[in-house]
Amino acid sequence: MKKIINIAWKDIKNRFTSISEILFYLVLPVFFIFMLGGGFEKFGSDQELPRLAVVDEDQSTLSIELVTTLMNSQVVEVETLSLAGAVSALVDEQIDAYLQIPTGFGGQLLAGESTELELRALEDMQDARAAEQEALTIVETLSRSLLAAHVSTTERELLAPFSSEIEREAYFDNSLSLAQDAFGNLPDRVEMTVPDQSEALDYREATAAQANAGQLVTWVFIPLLGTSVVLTDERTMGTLRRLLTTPTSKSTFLLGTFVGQLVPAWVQMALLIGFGGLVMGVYWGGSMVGLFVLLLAFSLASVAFGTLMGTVVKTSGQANNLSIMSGMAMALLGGCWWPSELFPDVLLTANKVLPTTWVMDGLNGLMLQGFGLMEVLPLAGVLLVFAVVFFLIGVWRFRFE
Amino acid sequence: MKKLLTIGLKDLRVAFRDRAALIMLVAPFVLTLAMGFVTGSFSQGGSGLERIPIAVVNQDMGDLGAALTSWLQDESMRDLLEVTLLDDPAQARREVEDGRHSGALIVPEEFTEDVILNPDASDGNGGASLEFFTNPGEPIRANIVKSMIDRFIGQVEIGVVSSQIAVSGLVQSRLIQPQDVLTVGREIGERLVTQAGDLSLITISLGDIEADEPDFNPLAILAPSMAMLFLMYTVTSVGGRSILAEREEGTLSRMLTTPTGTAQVLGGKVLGIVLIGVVQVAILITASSLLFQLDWGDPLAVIILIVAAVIGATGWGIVLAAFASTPGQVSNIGTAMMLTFGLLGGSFFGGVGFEGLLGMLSKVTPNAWAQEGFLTLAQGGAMADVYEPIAGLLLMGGVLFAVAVVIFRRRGLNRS
Repeated sequence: MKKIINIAWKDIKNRFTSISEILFYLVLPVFFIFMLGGGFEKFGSDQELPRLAVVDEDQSTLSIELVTTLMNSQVVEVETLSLAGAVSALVDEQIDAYLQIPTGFGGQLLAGESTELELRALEDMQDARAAEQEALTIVETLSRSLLAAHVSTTERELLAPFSSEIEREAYFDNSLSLAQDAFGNLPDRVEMTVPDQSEALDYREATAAQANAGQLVTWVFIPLLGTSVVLTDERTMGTLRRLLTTPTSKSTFLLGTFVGQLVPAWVQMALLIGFGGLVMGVYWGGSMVGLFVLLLAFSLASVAFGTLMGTVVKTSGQANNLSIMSGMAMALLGGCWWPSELFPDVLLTANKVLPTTWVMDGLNGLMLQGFGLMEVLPLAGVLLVFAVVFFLIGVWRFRFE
Repeated sequence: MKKLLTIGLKDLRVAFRDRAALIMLVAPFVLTLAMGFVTGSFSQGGSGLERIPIAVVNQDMGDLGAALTSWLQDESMRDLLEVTLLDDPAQARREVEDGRHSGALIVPEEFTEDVILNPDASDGNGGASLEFFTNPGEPIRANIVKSMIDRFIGQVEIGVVSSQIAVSGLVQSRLIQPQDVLTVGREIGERLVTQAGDLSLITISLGDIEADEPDFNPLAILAPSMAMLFLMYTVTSVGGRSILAEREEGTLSRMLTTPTGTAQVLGGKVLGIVLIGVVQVAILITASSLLFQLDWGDPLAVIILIVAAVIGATGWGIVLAAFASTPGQVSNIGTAMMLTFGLLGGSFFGGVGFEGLLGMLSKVTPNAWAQEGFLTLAQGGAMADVYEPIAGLLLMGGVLFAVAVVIFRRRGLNRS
């Protein structure tokens, strides 16, 4: 036991000799979790709004009403410009999008004819998409009220023609006002429900939770694959050969190495879970025991895979690079970077061979689907099978020299 | 010049003989492949957002539930949804919990009646809602399906409110009797449905790039993202590191005993890094072009952009080597730099970067400039369209190289 602790302590000291290790151990993981886990949305409430310019070439009552409604938006910052001014502002990226209301807009709508507005936005910019979406929503709101008012006026006209244009306009305006009230009072007709045991997180909270979990797995997984670097370093520097001269068995050495990798990983996971929970407001699920069991099994599978890799590569440089590349690829394919619900079916079957898939399924289950210990156990079981298989192959292939 | 070339080509040979370095040279290709799988670029079924499986239980006694069910099963929705009709809400919920469906839509018995006869729910009795029971582990799919259902309901409500307002006006004008309200309202509603498929008076024509480029391959964004991510690794951890490794191993001292000046040695090392970087990106471009028929755009512009991107990235590698004391430091900081630049430059989001302050900050990364250029070319842009990213990258490389030279002069290339 003492030998195992000594070997582990030596590895931990070696690893944290350089201050830069803290960069990978805590600073970068926290930075990535903050950036990808919705930190800016959470703490950046005073961010600038998307900027939308409106070009009103019609200047009719209806176009002015549309501009006024847009101006009152809480989602976009609206200004009125000429067409040339809007084009120039868009090119210079002073605005994110502009909406052009053509001449004849009001007249066509009053006559019940459909009309088309033009919206030009900056390519591939989130703010432009947000401005576009808000413009669509407001135009749609006005459009449906106008349609209702037009239908009402037309139906009235079919039964009894208006005595004058003034009477027609008054009837239209009254119908428009009634329609706006009616649409404003409509209840939400679609109620989203989730299983009883699940936490009803909204879309943003759910995707932020997945991003937090994915980054946690990535930043713990890649260093654990780095067990291969420790093994190759010991082999290439001849320290393993020296160990042969002492009464230390292969299993004692490997166990010591594992503990030296696993203990920092467990501390790192605890710190990142704490950061996620306390700073980012991530709900890690109702079962801390389930979370512990799942992450314990995952860390064992990862360190065993690192051991296996250490028996395949020849130099620590190869081990280091292979750890980074395979770690990133397995994190990506396992659903750590993008939610696996976006994956095609064929990949959802194929990625079952990766430990990252099982741990992400477990974390998603705990955070979003109300999993408890019993639901997590099968997933943890698969991870332990990975651990045993990788470990056995690793030990079988392991050579001191 | 010959000495520069000799040193540069030697570094290139060493990089390709070293299996460790080779792993990172092929890494962008491996990650691009992985991203291709993730986005469904290689599979017939497309991404996971196509043919989303949902269960529908229609208990509605009226027509609306049937119309909604029929719309969800319509040919136009086939690519988006895979609908399974069930009779029992409990079974539908169970199947969602078992992961067989992403959600279950349950239409209540009195849905049509409440929506048609009491649309505003102002008396508190007309709030019959559709229940969309979702798998909370699939929030994106749930959100997409809910948007589709909202769209259908929105269209229905336009018809209902329009009929209601029209009938109300006719009653107030005493053109119809109160007992005829239902009949007239139904007639108006039916007329609306037959007159217009999409009940909208105002449409918006969008200047949307995707709309103009329906065949755009997502790999055209993903591949450059990965190329730039690992290029940063190569120029720092492989390239920058080699300068300090030569110093630590004593080969730099030996080189300086020959009639070769410091500037020539440094120039040769820079050339070596540039060559390695260009070969790395070229491998990815050639392989992705051949294997996935990925069109990177105007070949000459692509070549110039690659060289500019490598020069910009190499600048960072050289500056790092100038500041660092050991090869280990270069490796660690280089990897951190690769990840941070990748995040800021958008390499982890398929090439889409940040906006605002972070967007400005991302301009210090070669990733952001190069990805912008590669995307422009892949979308059919010409050389003139990528002058700005090319100039940005070359300026970045030039400034950083000058900074590195100043530091090397002050501290000495072969300092111990």
